[in-house]
Amino acid sequence: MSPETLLTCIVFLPAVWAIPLVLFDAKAKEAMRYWGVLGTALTFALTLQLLMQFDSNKSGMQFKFDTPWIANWNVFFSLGVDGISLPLVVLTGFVCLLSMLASWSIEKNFKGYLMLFLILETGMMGVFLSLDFFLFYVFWEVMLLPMYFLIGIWGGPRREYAAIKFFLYTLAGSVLMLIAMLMFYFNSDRSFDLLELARIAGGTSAGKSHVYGMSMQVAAFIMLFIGFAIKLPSFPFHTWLPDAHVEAPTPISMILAGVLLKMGGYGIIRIAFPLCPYGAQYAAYFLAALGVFSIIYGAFAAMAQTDFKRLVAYSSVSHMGYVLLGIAVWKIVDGKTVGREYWEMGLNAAMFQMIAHGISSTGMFFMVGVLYDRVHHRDINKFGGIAQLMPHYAGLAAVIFFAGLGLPGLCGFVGEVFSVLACWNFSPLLAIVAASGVILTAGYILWTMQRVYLGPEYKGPHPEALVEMNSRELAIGYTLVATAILFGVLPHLLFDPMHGSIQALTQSLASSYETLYGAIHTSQLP
Amino acid sequence: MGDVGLNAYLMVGAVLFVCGVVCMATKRNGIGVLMGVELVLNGANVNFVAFSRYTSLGLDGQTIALFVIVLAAAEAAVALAIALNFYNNHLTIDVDRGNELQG
Amino acid sequence: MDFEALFKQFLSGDVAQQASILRSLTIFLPELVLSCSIVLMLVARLVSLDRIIPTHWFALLGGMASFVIVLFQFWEFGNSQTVPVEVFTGLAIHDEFSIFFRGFLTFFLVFVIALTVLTGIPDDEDAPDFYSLLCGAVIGMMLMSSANHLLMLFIGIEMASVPSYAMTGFLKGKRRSSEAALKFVVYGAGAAGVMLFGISLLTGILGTAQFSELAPRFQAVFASHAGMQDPATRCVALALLMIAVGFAFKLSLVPFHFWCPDAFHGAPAEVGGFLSVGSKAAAFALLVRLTTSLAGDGSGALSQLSLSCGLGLGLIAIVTTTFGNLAAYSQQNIKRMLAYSTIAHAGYMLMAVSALLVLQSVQTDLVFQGNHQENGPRAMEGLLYYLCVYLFMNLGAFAIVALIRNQTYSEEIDDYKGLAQQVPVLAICMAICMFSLVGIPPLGGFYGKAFIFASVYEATNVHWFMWVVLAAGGLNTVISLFYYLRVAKTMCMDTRPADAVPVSMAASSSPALYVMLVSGMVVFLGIIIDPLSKVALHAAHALF
Repeated sequence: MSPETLLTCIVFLPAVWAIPLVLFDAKAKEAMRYWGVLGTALTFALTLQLLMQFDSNKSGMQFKFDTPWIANWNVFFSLGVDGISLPLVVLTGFVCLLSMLASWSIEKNFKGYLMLFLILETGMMGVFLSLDFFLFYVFWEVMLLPMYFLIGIWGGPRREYAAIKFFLYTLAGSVLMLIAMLMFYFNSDRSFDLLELARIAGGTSAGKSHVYGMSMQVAAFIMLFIGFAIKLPSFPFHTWLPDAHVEAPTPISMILAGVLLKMGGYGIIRIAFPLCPYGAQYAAYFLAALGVFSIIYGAFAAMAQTDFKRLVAYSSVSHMGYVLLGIAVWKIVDGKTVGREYWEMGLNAAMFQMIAHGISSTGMFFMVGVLYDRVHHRDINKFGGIAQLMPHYAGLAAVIFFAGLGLPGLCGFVGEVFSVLACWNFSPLLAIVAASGVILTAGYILWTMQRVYLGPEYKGPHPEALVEMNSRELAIGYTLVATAILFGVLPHLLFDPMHGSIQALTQSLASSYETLYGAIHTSQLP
Repeated sequence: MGDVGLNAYLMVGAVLFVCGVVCMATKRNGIGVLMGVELVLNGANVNFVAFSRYTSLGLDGQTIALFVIVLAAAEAAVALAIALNFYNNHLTIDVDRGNELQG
Repeated sequence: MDFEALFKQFLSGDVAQQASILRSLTIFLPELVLSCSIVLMLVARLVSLDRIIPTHWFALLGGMASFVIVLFQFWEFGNSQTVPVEVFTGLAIHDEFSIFFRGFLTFFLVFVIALTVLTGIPDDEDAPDFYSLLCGAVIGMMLMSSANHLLMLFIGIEMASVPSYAMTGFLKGKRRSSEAALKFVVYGAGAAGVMLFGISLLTGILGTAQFSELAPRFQAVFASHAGMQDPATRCVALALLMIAVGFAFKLSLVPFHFWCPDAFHGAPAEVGGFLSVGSKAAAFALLVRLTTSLAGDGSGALSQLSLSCGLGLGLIAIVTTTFGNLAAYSQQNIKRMLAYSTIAHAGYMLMAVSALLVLQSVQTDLVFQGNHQENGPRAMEGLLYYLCVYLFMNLGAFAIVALIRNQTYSEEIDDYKGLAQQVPVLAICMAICMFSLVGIPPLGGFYGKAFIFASVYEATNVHWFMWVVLAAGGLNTVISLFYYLRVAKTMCMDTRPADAVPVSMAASSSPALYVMLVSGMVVFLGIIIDPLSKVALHAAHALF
């Protein structure tokens, strides 16, 4: 398959797969389930195919192609993949397949659920693969509508509130992103091409010697950052997340935590930093501090929860703080980047943490969902003694939770430790605070495990329902555990494809900041 | 008799206009409001005709005035029909009594 | 124009001049076809032919025929690179822009007639009246879109308004309907009177009523009088303000919007759908034509005029959008909510006109890099694209309201609870229309909005105030989410109360297919943007 077809198929296969669902009889649930699983499995297979064809030794975009979409406005249907987007694309395929398998408990209007689910997958793939800002924006919003309905129709008791809150936050961020997008469009002589925009920002674009002004870069960066930080989510913009995660049905929580949050981090790495290096550097310390604060804040908030799912949701805030921290540790002294390799390490760690969190939080939500399906409550204080009733389940859950905790040998460890190490070069103070977050994380996860899985006996409602996982659930659980161990033991599997692209990114950002700094000091810039 | 000049005509037009607007604003009777509208339209007509006599507007002004008379008649016919219909339903043509549509 | 020339042409019997009248009549063919179908409908009733052939067939065929003729004119224009033609000695103008709007309006007419046939709002007895009013209003709107003379402007507006008043009060026995019509006609006639007085002042001072002459004459007046202190310039300003009142009424802009919610609430939903799209589109066409001809080439005094008009419209746009969105929030009746939503949307569209005028006020290449000549047409392209999508999304919403009303006899949002369980087709299509009205990609509404915001952004280079407009536009998009979402939520997420009137509609019935077609077009215009955007840009170029 040619790369163009492959990329297009990855993006549109799920949505196209949803169309024949119209023909299914509403009662043929079993058939629709297998149809859905087949669709997501095929998409995952295509992403694996992409992984095979990808050349890890190249640093730039691969398989890039453009087709005019809205010719009057210079909008292109432009897809491509590099070391930064590749792992996320594969992760999306992986998480979608697993959550499709976890969708067995959905009863209400299954046909509608499946269609929205598949459209959602198209939206997510499109975000990670598009190289045109306008296209990126469209895909970014495409996943909004299905997500709203998935939470709002199939969610828990407060689903409508959670759904509208999610929608409102994201839309507000998107409007800011739209304005920032227009800024770049008109200042680059009408281009939406992300690579070209980044080249202009770096001053390496042929024929366009002028760079974006300082004030514009700062303004644009703030708008873009708010848009992405809402998705990430970072501290002041995170309040939609606990509601959305708690109310969403289990498979949708898995997607929310596993993929959607990564779009925020991806947006910052792919768009906010390359397009406004000055703005990014201007805000770097603030971003790092925000990341550290999110780590601590999320951990404390998680510790205070009695709702199992809400606890896992807050742990996401905490874990995604490491991503922000890793991205932001860009140290500049007198216009020169100091210790670029540390920053590179931070970015690598951020990427790794995104993937690792994608696996561990998907797993944690799945594990919570398994319990909820059986006893229909999530109150931690009413649990206890699950390990005796469901030993197999408790064992798998323990591994997943340890992965979230960051135990060495499991995937959560690598990202956390590297981002804290990279931060030491940037600011030892922040590094120390961030490191203490690890202790808090260990605290709340161990305490939770003790309350839920250990203890003498289960005293909550529906004790009779606590039977061992069935084979489908076991398959999902084992897959997650296996990947968590795999990336914990062999982190280079992930670092290898990312490394080249990240190195290129830091180099170009560092040099473009230097150019800018020079320009400012010879006052060529407004 | 000497020519009274453009301004005198415009003054008449303006007075008609103001009368009409005041009438529209203060009358509660539907027919009264429509009479105010007629005054405004005719104020404009006086202007058109006067301008056509005194400025480079030429014959255009007169023609526009003719058209306006026709349009005003059509509008008045429809407006009266609607007022009648309102009366049939409400037994009044007091425009303030139409207060079912609010919000 | 000149009427003297017209009279002489008739009197002299000159062959060349008769040919020009013939040519004008050929260009006028779509309107003539519609007029003929009105006459046919009325005659058919006279001879009781309407018992055999339902009246709507006359209207439908007339609408389709005139649409086809407009298409043919479009094709002819595209092929022969014809320059704009002034028809009827300059009363009207025939260019891509007017062809675009005439096509738009006739196409829309066909859709509205189809909707009324499906919902059966005029019964057999009233059908000839209703359809002649409908076709008559569309002829008026078509005149508005091709007006090239202030008289034509007034005739067009009146021809479009008078049938609208009658259609609003069409349900004769309904108290609300008659109240709505009375309010509409009182406000409308008042606004038309004020507008006409403004026109009389403007024509008098400038000494012309021809659009193309306005800008040079204005410049001459401004040059011979000393600025704003002079009575003549003040008088022009007053005249423009009065004309603006008339437009504000037609476009339902704050503070002349009072009629809109009442009229929509009282009128049948079909009429609401017709008024919200048709009269708004025609009024925008006219406003754009008038303002671009006033702004002229934007040199000298015209630059100041254009800039202040643009900023004034920008301010009105902000107030209108914000007011419409905030007022829509608390509505319980869906037609009333949609009325406030049309007010808000008129505000968004007005932003495009505002941006256009602000952009036209600079002629030097100092501010812009690249080709600034493109800026004006771009702003118009946004407006035209927005209108096209608006046609489908608003008509779709009103059609669904009408179809549900036919079964439940209710138009309260609360009575829509859980309709997704009974009629998923209607619920899904309504959700599509609502989200498109918010402006969420990949639905068509987003692109119109994005294009308009883009030109507003471009206009920020000229004047800082456009930043305020842009911010207001963005903020309002977020605010509007609440009430549109409420409809989607009520229909899709709530459960249908046990005592609610059941609604049923097979997915393959013709009303369902109609609704699917309309909302399908909303999705289509959100994915395939290029063709329409090119046509819109082409039409917009005709203005400059």
